[in-house]
Formats: sequence, C-alpha cells, structure tokens
Amino acid sequence: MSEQRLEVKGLTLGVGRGEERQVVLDGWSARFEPGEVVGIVGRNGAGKSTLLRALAGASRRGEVSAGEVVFGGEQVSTSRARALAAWRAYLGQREVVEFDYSVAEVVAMGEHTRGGAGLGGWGGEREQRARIGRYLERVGLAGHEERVVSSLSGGEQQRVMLARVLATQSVWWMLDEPLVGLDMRYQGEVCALLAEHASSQGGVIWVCHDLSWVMEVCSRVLVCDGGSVVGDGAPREVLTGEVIREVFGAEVEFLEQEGRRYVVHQRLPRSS
Amino acid sequence: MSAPQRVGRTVRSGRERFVLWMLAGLCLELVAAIAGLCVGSTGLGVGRLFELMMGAEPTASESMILWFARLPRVWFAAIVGSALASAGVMFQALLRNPLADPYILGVSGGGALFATLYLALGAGVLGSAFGVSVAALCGAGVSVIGLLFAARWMGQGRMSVYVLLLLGVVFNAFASSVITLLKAVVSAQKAQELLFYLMGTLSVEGSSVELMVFVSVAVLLSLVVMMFLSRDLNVLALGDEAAHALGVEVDRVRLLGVMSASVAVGVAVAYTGLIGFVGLVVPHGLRLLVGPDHRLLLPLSALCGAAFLTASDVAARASFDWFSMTLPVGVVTSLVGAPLFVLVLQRSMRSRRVGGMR
Repeated sequence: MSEQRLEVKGLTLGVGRGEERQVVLDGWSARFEPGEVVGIVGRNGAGKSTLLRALAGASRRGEVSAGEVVFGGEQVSTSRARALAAWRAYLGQREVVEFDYSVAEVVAMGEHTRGGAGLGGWGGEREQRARIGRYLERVGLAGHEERVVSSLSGGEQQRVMLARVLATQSVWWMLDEPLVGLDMRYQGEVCALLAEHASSQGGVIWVCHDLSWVMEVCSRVLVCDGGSVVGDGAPREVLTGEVIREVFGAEVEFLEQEGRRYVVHQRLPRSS
Repeated sequence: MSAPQRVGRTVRSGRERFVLWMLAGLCLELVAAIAGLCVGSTGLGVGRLFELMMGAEPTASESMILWFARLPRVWFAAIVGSALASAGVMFQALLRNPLADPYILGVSGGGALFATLYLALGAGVLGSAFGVSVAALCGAGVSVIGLLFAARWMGQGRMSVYVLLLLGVVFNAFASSVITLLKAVVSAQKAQELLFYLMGTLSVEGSSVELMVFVSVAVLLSLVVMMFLSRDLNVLALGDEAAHALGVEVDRVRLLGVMSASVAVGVAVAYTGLIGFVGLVVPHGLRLLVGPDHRLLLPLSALCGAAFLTASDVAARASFDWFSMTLPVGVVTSLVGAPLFVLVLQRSMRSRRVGGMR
C-alpha cells in the first residue's frame, strides 16, 4: 500500500504575519499509511486545523513556511486541485451552503471531478441518484434528497457534508471536527463510518475534541501543543492523565468498561 | 423515499428539465421579439408580420422599418439583456451572494464613468461610438478589478463580500456624482446627450453593422465561457476552500468568471448606458422557479434577461404615445424591476433565509 502513503517531511507551519506570527509546527516529519485512523487533538488554537489543511493540500496563503507533504511522489502544496481531489476528501469546519441547493445536489458535488467538465454532465443520472441514495442512507438521511440543505438543522447539514465525503470515494479522508453538531446516535454512526473506511484500506485523519471517541476509534493520535507535535502513537499510550493535564490544563479521570476507556471530566467543584 | 419534494424539481430527469425550461425561455423571448417588431411609432399588425415571414412582399416603408429600425433594436435588446442577466448570475455565484449585481458592484458605474469622461473630454479621438465602447469596457474592467483588490486588501488577504458590496455602493455614488459634475461643465447639448445615455437607451440609430457584430460576438463568447464554468460555479456555493478540496481550480474560475462577466457588461454598458435591475431580478426570480443549478440557471437567465429587456424596450417605445418621447429603457427596467425585486426578495426570504449579509 506504499503508493497510498502520505509523507510529511520537515513541515513548518505558522499563522499570522510579521511580529504576530505564531509557529504552530516546527520541522515535523511523519508518515501515514492507509488503514490508520489518526486523531489530531490539542487545545483551541494549537494549530490542529492548520496542520490538517497542510496535509490536505488546502493551506491558506503563508501557512506553510517550510517542508512538504508528499503523496504518490507529488508535493501536495503544488498539486492541482483536481489531482488532490482524486485521492483525498477534505471537510472543513462548519461549511455553509449558499443558495437553495438540494441535499442530492450537494452530495453530488462530491463526485465533481468525475462528472466531466463544463457543459452538460447529466449523463448517468439514474446511476448517480442510486449512489447518492446509498450515501445518504449511511448518514441516516435516506429519502431526504430533495430537501434544501440550508433549511436543515446544523447536525443534518453536517451529515450531508459527510455523505459528500463518501461520494468522493477517496482513499484519504481529512475531516475537521466532523462530530460537531451531531447528536449521540450520529456521533456513533459517523465514528463507525471512519472505522469502516480504515478497515477497507482507507485512511482517516481527523480533528476531534472528544477524547473518548479518539480512544475508541483512533489507531493513532497526534497531540499538538506549543508549536510542535508532543505526542504521536496509540491513544492509550499517548493520552495519559499527565499529558492531558499538561496539554489541555484539564483534570480528567479514566473509566474502564469491557475493554473500552472513557475520558471524563473530574467532578465539578461544588458551587456553594 | 417519500420525502417532501420541491415542486417541479424531481419529476423529470435533469436533461428533460433543461430542455423544457430552455424552450419556455425561448418562447418568452420570441413573444417579446414579435412584440418588439410590431410596436413602435408606426404600428405593424401581428398578422401582417406573419404574412411577411411567410414570404409576402413587404412595402418599401415596411422593409425600411423592419430591417433598419426594429430588427436591429430587438436583436440588440436581446443581446444586452442576456449579458446583464448572465453577468448577474456570474457575480452572484462567484461572491456567493444573491445581492451581487453588475450595477451594485460598480461595474456599470465604472463603465458609465469612463464613457462619460470620454464623451465629455476626448470624444473624437477614436470616433464617437467606438471610442465610447472602448472607454466603457476599460471603465468596467478597471472598476471591478479595483474593487476586488480593495476588498481583498481591506480584508487582509481574505475577500470580504460584505466589504465588496459596500465599496460597490460607495463607488457607484461617487461615480454618479463625478458624472453629474461632468454634465455641469459641458455644453447643454452634450449634457442632454449624456443624460440620455446614462438613463439607458437601446437606440440603434447611427450604429454600424460592424459595431453590432462586435457587441454580439463579445457577449456570445462571454456566454460560452460562462457556460463552461457553470458546473464549477455550483461547487463554489460551498465556499472557496471546499470547492478547491473537491477539485475546482478556484482562482482560475474566479478570473475567467470576472473577466467574462465584465466583458459582457462592459460592452453592453458601452452601447446602452446604465440599465439596472436586469441582473438582479431575472436570476433571483428564476432561482425560485428552477433552483440554483447553474447549468440551467445561467443559460435560462440569459434567455429570460433577453426577453425582459426586449419587453421593457417595447414598453418604452409604446410610451411614445403618452409622453411624445421615447422613455430610456433603463427607466422602464427600474420602474418594473425595483418593485419586482422587492416582491421576489420577500418570496425568497419567506421560503428560507437569504444569506446576503453575513
């Protein structure tokens, strides 16, 4: 599977300009193989999204100051959008659809590069509708094809976006907080989707704030803090109480049940 | 699979819908064009027109009116209307904002400003008609590029559509006061000429065949470019970052889109002066009817924009009987377009929120 490997070489990232520039990653190297579910964790503003964008070749101007991310012998930072779309799906935080596009239309956008360019693109419509129906079923939105996306609830919109990710049929999924806005049931279903994608030789790299899900789903976790990746490995080994206290400044407890490990807040101090 | 369905959106396949709507648009334009050929200071019956089309021999005055006055004018209205409406769709898609419009974005104002400057200061250098068009084209290009850069500069590298629209409004106000100033300093006769130009006119008297061909080719070429971008424009509704992630070369689409829309509007403005609301009302209304898919919305807007302007021109010419002068067509489009736009806006606000100012 090495041709599907993602390699990071001496990557240096920063945000802001001039005096205000803040380094969020300093000369970091790593490699990612399909079959992995990699969680990126860290406190707000630690640069998780910046890192994810760099891996996806979606960096904003000035974010990458050195190093490279390589897939299939190509640097992602200089790859064409079309070439990138062939192997990775990227879902940013809180994407909003403008105009009254239907659910089916937005999911179909996941197949954009395979629909041919320019005029027409109405061929194979019946097959496409069937595919879209299957993707929507996976995110619990079967039969909602014709609803207007912008009229859906936040969680439903997020699930439409995840169906769009499915529609790309990419090897690598790079998702920025995909669980935001989802209720208990769909958090679980989406996590199951991620695990299933990895088990069918896909790769997932995602930003997540829920450490219990990270423990359960991820095969590997990256901990971002203070301008570098301070932890990289299996969640149980990396995410210790000490690390969490240091990185997040939060006191947590671990609950073990039937081989699963949950991360919960310590009891809140009584207020009176 | 029994979801609430939007009326008229699912029953037919995309291709069938496309053909049916385009045919409907074409019929609308045909009706408007026939009215355009019949109505005027010298009336011409629809029956007689039909006879002529069937091969009846026209009288000398009939052929004069049809070939040299009505037909060019109807053709011209169609071309300009389609340019304005499709440019409206393009700007709305690129800026992800349903309120964007060549008029609001200052493209029209910039074109008019340059054209006025040319008329007031330098007319004669390149010949009046051709010179004005070049000036307007430059003005449209300079102002849209200037506004885009200004908005990007103020947003520190990231374009704020809100800032852009505000800048456009400010720029339009500025342009129109400069134009007023110019009118004050030129001769009375020239001022009258300018005024008429600025209100928007489709008068074709004095324009040569070459000019008509030039405008038509420029607008049609822009339309072709826009059509090739139509699928990418759909994905752009997700935002630049998501569109890029899905394989759209956002910068290229943006550049081609702004260029084609500016060329279309610039050329149109050069010959007609300011005609407002076409680029706003037509796309907005059609979005309510057929949905936002640009593969259909763009060509249908071009057709319906053509029909809208042709019909407005008919109304303007019919007004001759009451005012003993032909109203500038821009007055008609604004008179009809402004209330219509409020209505359409209210309808679309009711069906959902318009994500205008965010």
